[in-house]
Amino acid sequence: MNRNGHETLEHTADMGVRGWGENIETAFKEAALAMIGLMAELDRLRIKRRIKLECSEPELEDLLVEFLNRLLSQIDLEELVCVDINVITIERLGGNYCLKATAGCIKREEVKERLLVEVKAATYYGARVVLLESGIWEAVCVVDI
Amino acid sequence: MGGKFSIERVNEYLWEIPAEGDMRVPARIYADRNSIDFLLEESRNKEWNALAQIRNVARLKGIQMAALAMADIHPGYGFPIGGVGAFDLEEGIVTLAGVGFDINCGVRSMVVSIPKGDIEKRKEELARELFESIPAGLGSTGSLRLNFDEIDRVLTEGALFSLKRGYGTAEDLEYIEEGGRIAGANPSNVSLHAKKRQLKQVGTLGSGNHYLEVQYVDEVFYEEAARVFGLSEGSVVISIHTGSRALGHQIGTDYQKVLRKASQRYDIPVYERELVGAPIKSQEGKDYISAVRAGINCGFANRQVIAGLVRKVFARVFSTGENDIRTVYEVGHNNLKVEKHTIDGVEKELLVHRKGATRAFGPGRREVPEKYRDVGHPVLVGGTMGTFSYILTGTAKGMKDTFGSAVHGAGRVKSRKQARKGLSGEKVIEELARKGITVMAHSNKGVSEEAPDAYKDVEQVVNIMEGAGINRRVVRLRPVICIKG
Repeated sequence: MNRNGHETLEHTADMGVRGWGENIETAFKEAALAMIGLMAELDRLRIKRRIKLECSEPELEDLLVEFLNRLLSQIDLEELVCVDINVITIERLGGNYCLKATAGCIKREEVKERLLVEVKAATYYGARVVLLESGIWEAVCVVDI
Repeated sequence: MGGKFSIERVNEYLWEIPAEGDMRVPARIYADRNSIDFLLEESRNKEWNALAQIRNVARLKGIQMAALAMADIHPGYGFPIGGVGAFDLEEGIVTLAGVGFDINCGVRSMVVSIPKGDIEKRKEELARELFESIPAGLGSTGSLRLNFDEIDRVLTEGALFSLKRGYGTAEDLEYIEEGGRIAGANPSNVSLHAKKRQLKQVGTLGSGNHYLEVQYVDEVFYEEAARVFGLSEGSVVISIHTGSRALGHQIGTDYQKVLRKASQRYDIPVYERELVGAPIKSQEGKDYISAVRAGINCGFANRQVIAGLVRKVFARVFSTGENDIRTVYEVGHNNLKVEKHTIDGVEKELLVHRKGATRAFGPGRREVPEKYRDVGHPVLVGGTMGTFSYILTGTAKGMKDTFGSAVHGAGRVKSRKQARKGLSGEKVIEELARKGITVMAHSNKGVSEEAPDAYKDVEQVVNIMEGAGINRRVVRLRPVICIKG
């Protein structure tokens, strides 16, 4: 298995997303890539603008779900498709985990033929963020389609 | 995983997991031998399984009589899809998992007074017109552009808002559950963010399993009810399956956090991360319920706009008048409702959660439109793309045993991922075309995820509910045109 990567997981009605990486930031980024890959065919898309995302939550699982939901609602509001993610930092500050990220996006209307399905929300169902024995971080949750 | 539990056969179509351990009530599952074997197998092998979920529902505080799973049961998050849970208003809790993220997702069916032959003759043209006129697909936006004041009115007025904007007819509203407008919605409990996401989305179909179909009645099973509903063999029916769009999704997302905190605050054990909730009487509980009602109204408004758009398309293609298209009924399947039910001879008010389950009130209930009151309201069960849909009714037994509930669809058996490994979207569309069904979709990959073989046979699901005496078949609908997101 590659040290970094993502996949979707079987869930009968919806879809699980799983990201992993050598640090927690990469695991979050990869989980987000798994999710946005459900929404559009991303290959060969050129980023036209970057949006910033910041959130903080008491637990890592909350942070993962919040991060994915922020991303979903932000791109929905601005009618964008997200093409790439950069999770800059995840730090513990004053009892909370704080995440800073940017997302490279493109307007939906420019890539209409590439759009797939809508993701309604990231859920806590099956959510986990763990450091595996192999030293790899893993971030998983189910998204509602 | 599921852990060990016992399951008993009550009869050919009903199984019970007795209330063991900390289960407060038994869990009852409508299933035949095949489907129960499938569910048991899943509970042994899969982390995400529906039987574990329905047992967890049976553990929730204030749950009454039984946690119920309709025959289309499959794993959801927290609640199984097909799950019904009714809670005591004093002691009980309201849970997010019992509603989900697509609040008041449901089906509107309308009957068209033109012959089936006319549709067949101009099928391709009609399909193209519908496809171009009904906004669908990921993040599609509608022709309505609302401001925040108007969105607040959508959330309190429901379908009436759309009617005032010129979509549909006044008669439509009589044939929507709650008259298309549920009381007790409070827009101030819905975030600005949720409203902002909806400003351009009223009157859009969405994606995933949402669809618009032109169908016809290919078989009548229950003559009297069909006559009352104005349906006969060959009747042309339009069905719209969609929900409350981004607003509903954001209400779910926002309250996921509120209710997680509330679960801690009120010491509610969280058996699954999504199964969070608050006491119905608590501030958080009341806020959530009023927000869900706002979402319910948004779903009503959304379908009413689409119904209006469909009428305009038919007027262009067939020169039909507004009254040539009549609403048979509209009913949701991701809902929270306060309803009166009788348990052990005592009538009481309950908060009923239906997650992927349809209300199916039988004869005599005052909630049923007067015209339908002798037979019960129509229950609209969507099949899968290219297979049959059904219109059912509820029964007196269903009122007693299931709080008046029904299946909502066929129920998935294959994950989206497995389905994609099967036929490509293009192949699915070709195959359906050979069967005389025109499919037009914004995403072909989406079509492959929704391929008919990803679902249980709708016949089997309906058989189980009818065999159990809970629902009754009225008519079967065969699709001619299917528009997908």
